[in-house]
Amino acid sequence: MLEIKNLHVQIEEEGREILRGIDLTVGAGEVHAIMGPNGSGKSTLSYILAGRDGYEVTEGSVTYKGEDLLEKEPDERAAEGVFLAFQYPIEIPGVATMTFLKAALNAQRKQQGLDEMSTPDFMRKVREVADRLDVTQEMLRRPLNVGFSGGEKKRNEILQMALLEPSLCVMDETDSGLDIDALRVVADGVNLLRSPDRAIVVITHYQRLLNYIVPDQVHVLSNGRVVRSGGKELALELEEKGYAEFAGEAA
Amino acid sequence: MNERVDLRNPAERALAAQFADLVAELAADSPERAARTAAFQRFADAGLPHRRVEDWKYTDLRSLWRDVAPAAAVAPEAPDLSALDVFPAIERTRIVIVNGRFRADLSSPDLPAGVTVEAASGDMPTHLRDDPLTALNAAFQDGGVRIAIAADTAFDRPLEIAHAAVVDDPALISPLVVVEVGARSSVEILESHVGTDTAYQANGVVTLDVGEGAHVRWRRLQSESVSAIHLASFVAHLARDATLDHLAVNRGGALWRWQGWVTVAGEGARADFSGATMLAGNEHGDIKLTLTHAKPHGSSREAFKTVLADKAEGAFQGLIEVARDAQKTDARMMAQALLLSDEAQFASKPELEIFADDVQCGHGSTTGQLDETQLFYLMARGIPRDEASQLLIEAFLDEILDPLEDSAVAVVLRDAIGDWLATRRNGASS
Repeated sequence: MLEIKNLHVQIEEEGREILRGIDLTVGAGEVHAIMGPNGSGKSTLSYILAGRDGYEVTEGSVTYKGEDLLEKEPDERAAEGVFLAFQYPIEIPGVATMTFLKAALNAQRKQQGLDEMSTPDFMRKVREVADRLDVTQEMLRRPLNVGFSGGEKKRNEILQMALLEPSLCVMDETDSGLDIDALRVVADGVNLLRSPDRAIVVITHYQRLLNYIVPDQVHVLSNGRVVRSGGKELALELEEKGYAEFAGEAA
Repeated sequence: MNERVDLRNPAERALAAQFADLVAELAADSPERAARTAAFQRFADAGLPHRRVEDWKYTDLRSLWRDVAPAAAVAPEAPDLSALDVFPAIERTRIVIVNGRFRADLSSPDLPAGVTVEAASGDMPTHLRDDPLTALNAAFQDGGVRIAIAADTAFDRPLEIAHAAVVDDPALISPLVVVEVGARSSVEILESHVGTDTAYQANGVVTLDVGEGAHVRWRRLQSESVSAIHLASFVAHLARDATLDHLAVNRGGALWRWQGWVTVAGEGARADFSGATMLAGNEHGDIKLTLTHAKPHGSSREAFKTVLADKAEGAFQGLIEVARDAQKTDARMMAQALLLSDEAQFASKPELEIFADDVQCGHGSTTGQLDETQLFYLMARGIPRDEASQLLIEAFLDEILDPLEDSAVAVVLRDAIGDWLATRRNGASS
């Protein structure tokens, strides 16, 4: 599904290198966790996958479903099934959440060569997913993410993910700012999306989320490199020992 | 009579020559001739305004209005106005003005109870003595209309003042509309400006008197030909406890200016002005509003939003004057611009002149570009850049229409915005 090879990335304006040779392969049906201290390059990796401006890939490649992902625009990537759940979902005053959801769903369907979804079908689908994630109708009427609490924003991200049914879900610190109840709701939402033809990459600082979304593999990112990979027990080890020992390995 | 005119440039000379032809047809001793001559003299004293005149800092009319077109002929007997109706789906009473002249034959046959329509003359309030456009209008207007709404009148449908320019060649159009709203009346007025695809030149004046405790909701849609010049002056006077809610959508005209003088002349009156403006190509649009609080306990709100694409130029000059008497005034003014291109320009000059000591006044102004973070978020959900930009531009402008909710008029105004955006997208991709 996703194959990252020797990926080097720097910030365009500063020329500072953030990722220094990442190798990562995620197969369909797998859940991978990427853990690491602040500043290790976790969020940069998520932005590179989604196609955000401001970064320059100086070396390496990212292949998604056998094609070069890096040459595609963010909207093309989304239509082909790449979804980034943002660490800080963006507030967009003046754009109603429902309008946005419909525009996104239909834009993707259009790029996939499908007809637009009818309004009743769309409403039914949104309602079904929203109920599952404790997203109220009142929230859906508000402008996108405006006035949403941290937890509401994260639930809204998972709602979009469930609605758009991506093949590759990248979740950037989805657990940050969530209390335990919200964390459970979000994790249940993600677990429902686990399927043999979908890959999930969970980026997190803490092990806590991984109690609820159990990964197949855990990778430790430090200083822009994957310094260690292992099974789910690696997360527990990190929880105990912290990231200190990896700072040395990466240097 | 002293008819000294200091001719400076071809446009002014053309206006003077046209004016000479016009007065030549009037009896030498007629009061009309005297009034028009006095008005033209007021114009000629200063001539066309230029950028060294503070009020015209951002619109150098003297250099922009090079060729003055001949005065428009009376429009044909029965012009086909169906393509020039911007509110077709709205049940309304229409007052139709073609080429600056009121046309009873094209207007709604039945007026609502309490409304009278008659010919108007061009006497301007004395405080506008220095304004060249109202003076020019007073000199040239012909077939102006006075709409009087009696006290205690309420409409069940809006009254539209529909301006249409029906010309094959460039022509000068000088409409005059006088509206008087009686005490305690509550009315909705639509003002529309459209025309054939010609470089016509309109210099219109609207005066509005809102009586005690009366409420006026005024919706203006300027959708002129892309090559037209549109100059508009709006002079309003609000009596005690009156309210005026004036909302404009501006989306057409090569060169245009809307200038307003609004006096909150009675205690407790309120004036709201809001506008959504779209400028593209080489268009130049200028809004200037002088809002004067003359009496205590008045309030006013101004919110103007402008979207500029290509090489368009926009300007906003807002002045809030609070007289010494006007204690407890609450006045706010905001101008925001969204630049869609590096070559587009927007100038904003908000000013306060406050002579009372117990008031709340504020102003703000922002100019920016589309937020790249918001664009990325929308694109990351599969929405292509063009469509994402359109969503954000619509969201920016739609805040102005928010108070209208989903009314029939709001639908038309939103369509005007959507249509402008669609035209731009199609144009950009061709």
